[in-house]
Amino acid sequence: MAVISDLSSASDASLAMAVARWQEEALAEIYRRHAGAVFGLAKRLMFDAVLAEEVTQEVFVRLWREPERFDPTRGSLRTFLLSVTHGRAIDILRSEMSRRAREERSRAVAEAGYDLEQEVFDLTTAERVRKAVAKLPGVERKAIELAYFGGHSYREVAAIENEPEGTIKSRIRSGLRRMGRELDTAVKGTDR
Amino acid sequence: MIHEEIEELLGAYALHATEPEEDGEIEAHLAGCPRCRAEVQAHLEVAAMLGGSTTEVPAGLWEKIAASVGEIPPPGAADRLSVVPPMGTAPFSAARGSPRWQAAVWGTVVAVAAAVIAVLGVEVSHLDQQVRSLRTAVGQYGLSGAAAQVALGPHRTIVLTADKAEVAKVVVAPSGAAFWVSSSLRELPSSQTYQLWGLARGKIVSLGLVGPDPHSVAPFRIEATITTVMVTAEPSGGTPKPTLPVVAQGNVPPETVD
Repeated sequence: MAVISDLSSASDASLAMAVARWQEEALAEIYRRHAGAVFGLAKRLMFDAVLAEEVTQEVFVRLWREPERFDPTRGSLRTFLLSVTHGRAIDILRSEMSRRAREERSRAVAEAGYDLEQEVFDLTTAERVRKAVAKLPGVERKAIELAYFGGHSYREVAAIENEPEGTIKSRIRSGLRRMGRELDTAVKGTDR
Repeated sequence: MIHEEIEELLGAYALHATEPEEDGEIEAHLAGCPRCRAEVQAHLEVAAMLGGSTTEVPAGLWEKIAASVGEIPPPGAADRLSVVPPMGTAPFSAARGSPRWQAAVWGTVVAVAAAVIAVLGVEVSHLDQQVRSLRTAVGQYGLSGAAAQVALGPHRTIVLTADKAEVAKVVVAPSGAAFWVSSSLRELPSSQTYQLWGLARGKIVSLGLVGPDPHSVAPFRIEATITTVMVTAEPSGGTPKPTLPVVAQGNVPPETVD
């Protein structure tokens, strides 16, 4: 009977399944592969290494507790972990910072030259993502930037941009779809 | 909200930029709308590429995580798995220091030999004979454990068929302890494994791996909610969801026989 002892060669899906069998070594391998991205996103969102560390810890403990939440048929483990990371970080930001404080933070960041292009560091995808971001209309880029990295809801983005909520919803959606097409992640059949 | 209104929110939803009162309605819609689920997933992939830059993690962080997962057993762990990894067929080496792994192995060991007796059709009418038969089976087949009650006590037999022909059997104790005990399925290459699945309330759950050798005696669990057992051939290590055609299946009989 085959025993896969080389964790480094196992697929993410296999590792997730092993986590569902309470195999801590599999969780350790997932951590080795993805903790850098999880911590990196948390730190970028929270501007606080200690809080980012707490979020990272929560993300991996949550995977341990609820591995069934990851469905490999719907996407990669990395995407799942980063979505969980983003959601948790945003929850903390919203609970600990007032909207005005987040607006001020966004403004300070913007004045320091913050934009999506500078936020893209992953070496394997950086160039593709930069190109996709560069092709976004400015208003779409701004809406995504405020929502994803600024932690604002679309209603808050609408207030910040002084635009109708429906306009902001559309800008976020169309911007993501535009980037998806550029990055070839878009799902076929969703275009009208 | 109507479908179009939900659709307009999918981008914001993927970025966690919707309002909490909207999320429930969106998620209820997603549960029944594959097209919208696919769109959200596509947005999530984009977001992951935007946010997935790698940063060096602080020293000692893994130790904190390991301490957390080691001290707190996952709630619902008993029913999330419905499986004890077959001995020697676990995707990865067992966590030998783990009490829960040791407990699982012991439970496995206890019943394997009895399953072998069932396979062999050993007739037992006296305790001494049972013990002798058990010892013989364990010795003959080199099993690393001894004793169990499944085949010697009340049990159900699930007959797995392919094209109406019997290709494997599973015996199930009233406790849910179950064993894949015989099969005429072909041996798989070492890069593949037979994987068992259970159908419970319309949901398919993994029961465990048999390994590439269908003649293995593989232990697992069948909860009371499982009505059908299926077998697929999967890549070694198994998959969280069946990806290949079902090679055999059988219903769990309601009656227990002695």
